[in-house]
Amino acid sequence: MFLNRFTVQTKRFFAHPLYIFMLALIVLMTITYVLLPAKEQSAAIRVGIYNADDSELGKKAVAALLVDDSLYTFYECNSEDDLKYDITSGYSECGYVIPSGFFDSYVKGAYDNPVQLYDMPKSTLTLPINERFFSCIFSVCAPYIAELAIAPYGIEADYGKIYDEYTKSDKVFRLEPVTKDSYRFESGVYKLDVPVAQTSVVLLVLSGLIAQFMFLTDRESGKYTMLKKSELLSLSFIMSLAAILPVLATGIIACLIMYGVGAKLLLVLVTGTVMLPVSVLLSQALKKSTLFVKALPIIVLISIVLSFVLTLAM
Amino acid sequence: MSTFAQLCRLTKANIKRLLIKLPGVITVAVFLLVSLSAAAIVVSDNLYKPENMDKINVAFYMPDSNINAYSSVGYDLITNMQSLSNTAELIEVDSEEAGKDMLSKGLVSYLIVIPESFFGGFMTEGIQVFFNASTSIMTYITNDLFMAFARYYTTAQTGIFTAIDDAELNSLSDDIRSRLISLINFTFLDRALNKDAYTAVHSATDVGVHSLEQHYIGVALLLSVAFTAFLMIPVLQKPNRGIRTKLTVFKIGKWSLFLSNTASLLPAFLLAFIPCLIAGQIYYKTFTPLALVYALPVVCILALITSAFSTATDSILAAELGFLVVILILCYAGGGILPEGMLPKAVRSISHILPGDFMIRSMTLALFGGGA
Repeated sequence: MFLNRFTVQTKRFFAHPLYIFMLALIVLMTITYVLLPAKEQSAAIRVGIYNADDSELGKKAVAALLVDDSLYTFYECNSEDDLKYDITSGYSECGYVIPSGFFDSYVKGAYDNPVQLYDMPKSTLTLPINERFFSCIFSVCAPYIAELAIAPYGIEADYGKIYDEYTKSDKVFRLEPVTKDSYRFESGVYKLDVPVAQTSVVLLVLSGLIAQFMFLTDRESGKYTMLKKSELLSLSFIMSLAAILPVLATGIIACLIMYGVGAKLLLVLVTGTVMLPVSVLLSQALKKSTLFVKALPIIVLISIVLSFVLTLAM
Repeated sequence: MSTFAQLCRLTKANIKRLLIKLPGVITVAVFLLVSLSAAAIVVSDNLYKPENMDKINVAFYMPDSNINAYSSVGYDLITNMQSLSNTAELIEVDSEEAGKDMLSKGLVSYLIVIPESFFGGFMTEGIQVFFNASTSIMTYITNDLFMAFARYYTTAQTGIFTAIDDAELNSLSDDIRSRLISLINFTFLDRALNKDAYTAVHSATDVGVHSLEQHYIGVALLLSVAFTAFLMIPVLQKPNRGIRTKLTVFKIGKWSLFLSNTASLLPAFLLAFIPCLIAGQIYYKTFTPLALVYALPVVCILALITSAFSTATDSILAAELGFLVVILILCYAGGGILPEGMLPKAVRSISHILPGDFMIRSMTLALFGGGA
């Protein structure tokens, strides 16, 4: 009797276009993941610069940053929005927006026009990068800073020429790098992350709810008048099982292909297992299909939010 | 009675029916706002997880006899350098031998030996750095930091030597020469030590003028208003099904019905939005005088979408699921589920064309105004 009812209900669900669409969606997402080529991205530590200061000193300082022999790769962005996108997408570690007139303020020692440094909560290298950034621009701006400082003494005319000579001299302090060769950044291979686990969780919830909605509608139309309460409960359970099982199986296979055995597979499995009794209990509690259809979208929305939050925590 | 008059009667009747449902609609909206806002806070806090990088141990030795005015400054430079303390654990040792012993045992990765009178003099004797060779990225990061510091000293020394020669060239007195050296020294120290004064740090996760948390609260507000449509759709569809014959007689077609439903839904969505806005503004202690102005276009869009699905299909379930799919797509493309930086390029390129981005920003502006 159980198998018979199970087979009938399964056939009923497979005749429904929405159900086929749900299964096809999981399959399509998995195929997309498998067929899409992996992206290769260097793990180099990039730092973006958007320079709005078009003074000669500004251009000279940024040019020095771009060629600076450093662990970090400084590069120029076309706009502030591009800079922020590069940081939030993970392409760069952090970024600088140099406002117009910054270098003039820096040389004069005015604090009212600071450079804007954008970073992420996960950035741990912002401070060492900032040291490198300021060390470089300081070395470019130093003669101008000194000339401005000594201007009252009237001797700044010769300062620049003597300064240039000393930059090449062996008399000044030098530190040889302690590491030999430059660090070789490995390239990472990334596949587009398709949210199959989250989609499977939501569809498991939806399929359980649709099964119970159909059960309530059938009961209200008088199909199960002759059945006892225990048989009604059993039928309700069978309908949920018939709806959830194919989605669960598809979701598990998809998660195995994409993530292997892990937390996301467990999440899908647990959702499918929990949804079976929960959907039955829900229909017992709400009793009417009109009430059920009102609660359905809210339950789906909560499951979408929960699945997203849970996978974030993984 | 004309078609237009009948349409107005229908609209009025639908508005009355929706207003009867209003207490339930508001309750659901506020409940959704509370639960979605809680989820928004969790998501915004955990979306970008900090990376944990191991610190490396750096020992340094600075002879006691070196302590004078300049050496104190130098000592402070090393021990208080924020960037170094984030990357390395600084350990002061009593002697060069003690430092080398720690190095050989692997207790430290670097040993810095600062010669006597380094800071007090002209830094003519070199700082020695001993290290354990390693290919780890932390070694290279620390090396890069040392090179950045070294450049400050090089630049400072270059500046001071230049000032001395320049003063001599211009036959300045010893007193003025001494004042010049101090002036250059302290001017350069300001640039080297006061980096924070020349830097304003911002989080790149901010969405326009709002923080990531505010952005997600705006999404929560949008969704909680939008999802009251699930209570409104059955109210519109059932009576319309019942009076189908009358609609045909008065030639009220699908388009007229669509306009009538939109007009009925506008006040309903607005009345659902106002308590949510008040609740949000009380919690966040904000007040936006133009909140309704920002929210009106969003309410119109929601009314149009809801009306379209209500009119297009007779099935309540199909209308609600269709509405759910469209709202979620708009939300996703507008950066409401994942921030813009995490969206695929193809989605990002169309996000400004779709109304989702505009709807989320408007709701965030309505709640928080124009500033973070």
